[in-house]
Amino acid sequence: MTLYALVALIGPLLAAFVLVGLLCPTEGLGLRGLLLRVSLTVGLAFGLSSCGFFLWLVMVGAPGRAFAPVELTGMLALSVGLLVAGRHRKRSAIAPPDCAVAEDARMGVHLLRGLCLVLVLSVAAFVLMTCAAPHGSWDGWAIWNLRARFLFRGGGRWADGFSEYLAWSHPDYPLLLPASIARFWSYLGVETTMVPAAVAMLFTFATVGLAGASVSILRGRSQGLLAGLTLLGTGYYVRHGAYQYADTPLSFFVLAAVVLLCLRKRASQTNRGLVFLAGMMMGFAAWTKNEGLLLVASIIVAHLAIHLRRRALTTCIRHVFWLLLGAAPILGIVTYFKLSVAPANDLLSAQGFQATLGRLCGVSRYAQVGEFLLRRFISYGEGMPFVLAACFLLLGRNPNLRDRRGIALALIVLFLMLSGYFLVYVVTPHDLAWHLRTSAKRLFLHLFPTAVFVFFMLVATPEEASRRPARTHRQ
Amino acid sequence: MMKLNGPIRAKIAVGILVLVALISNIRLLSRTLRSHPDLFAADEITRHEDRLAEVKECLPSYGVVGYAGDEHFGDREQEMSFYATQYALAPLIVVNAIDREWVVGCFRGDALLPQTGAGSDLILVKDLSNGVRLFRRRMK
Repeated sequence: MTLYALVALIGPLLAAFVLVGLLCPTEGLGLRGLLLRVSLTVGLAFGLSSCGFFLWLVMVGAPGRAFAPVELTGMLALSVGLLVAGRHRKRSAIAPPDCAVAEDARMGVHLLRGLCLVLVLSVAAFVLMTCAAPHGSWDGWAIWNLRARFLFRGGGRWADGFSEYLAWSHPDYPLLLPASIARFWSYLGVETTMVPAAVAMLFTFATVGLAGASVSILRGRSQGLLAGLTLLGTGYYVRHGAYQYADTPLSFFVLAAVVLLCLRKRASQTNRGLVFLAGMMMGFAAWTKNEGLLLVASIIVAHLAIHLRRRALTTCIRHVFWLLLGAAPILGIVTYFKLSVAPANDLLSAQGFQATLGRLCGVSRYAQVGEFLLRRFISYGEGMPFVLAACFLLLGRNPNLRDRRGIALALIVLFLMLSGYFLVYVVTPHDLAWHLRTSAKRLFLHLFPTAVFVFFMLVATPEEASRRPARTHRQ
Repeated sequence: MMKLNGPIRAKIAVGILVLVALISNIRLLSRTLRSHPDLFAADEITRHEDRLAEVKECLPSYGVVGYAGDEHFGDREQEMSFYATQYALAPLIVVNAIDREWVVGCFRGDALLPQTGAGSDLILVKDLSNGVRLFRRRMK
């Protein structure tokens, strides 16, 4: 079984690792570059393999004995093809961090020790929570693992899992997570709770790795370690990872798309590969949860806003083209799934023009949503916003803001996604109080790693803050 | 008046973040251990699956089967029982109704199906004496 598990992992991981290397140049970035590449590889591998598994189900049928060898051969061929194609490709390196002062090696070592300790505790907590609830928490088993069971156990009748009878389990939700789990089970030939738990763990810690590595590349090692610590130090984030929900993978793809677009600004020449890869991540977000479609729209609108403000129409069209080119095959699969397999979405199908208009005009609903989201934000992650506010006051702002456009793009994306969520609540056909109570915290989780990334881009590094003159405080 | 110079401010900020991260994870660990004193015992979902294992063998491989729970369906426990039954019996589709050929009953006590309406044609096929009962519609 261990051998099959390794084989199931190695094909897509190898292909994704090569593809990331080809599109996202990490040479000269040392360990942080490797961490970035490995973290992106995790998401890309699950994204690619889940799409492949779904296409197999649709075109061939139940994954029988032929599935594993055919898929593995395909992935290996893709890896070799990419290696050959990328051999003579001109590389565009990413510029080093823009930390205004040299990195403090001692501070880095202390922080690394702290991070390692917190990481050990987080992994232990994750493992214990998984032992206590191996099928995950409510939505984990009632939605995502249930769908994986239909895909794996259903054989030729896998589409039964999208029956109207199962409307309570949201059969219109996209399949990145269920298909990844079912694919793994198909390789193993048996169902085991280890698989969804391992997928959840990989996504949770790959997100931490991605946030840490990207901030480290853009702002310096100490800052990257602090970003990783912040994510690991948010108990809700780690706990939610162990729940086996799709919110954590979605948060990974939101962060990945934003990070890649920020890194593009640092590439030494116009790097289409990074934009293309960001497009893929954006597509995989839409293949993970319906909210991912909002990310696609938000990123495109953010691009338009930034480039059109600079009157750079040609650059704007070129960027959006490469973004959409990366996302197109995945969005094609999402579209096929939505049109041919999934039933209608409960939020959309229950909307009537008059009723929706009535809800949109109800001022009290805006107030209720606003107040609830504000309260949730303040209490998020056991008061993490206050901790970050205190850090901002102590460290000050980034004195050498080089990535203005990247940060502006990330902020616009966060704003648009929050606005989208806000509007969905306003027009929801469900009981508003129930809808808010059961989902608001998870929606913040989608954006939390990206918000942490932006925060550490905007705040001064400990080294920069150390160089600042003393401030006088009244006692 | 107190002067906080740059290095001290930076150290306080870093210290706060490290401390918060440590406390948060220690709390997470202790909460998990406290709420699950016997971590390696079977969880609720696994226990429900085990209860249904024998019934599953008698059911067809595909199709739609009915479900009957305790009368007061709607409280969290009953809701969970229905969803967990669906989870255990997939790829069968389970509907919360008794107008099907096969009906899986998950009861707390000795409750029985109503013997009127859709329930009047159902005969008990299996009673696992753990609250799980399997019914089948009498062929006319």
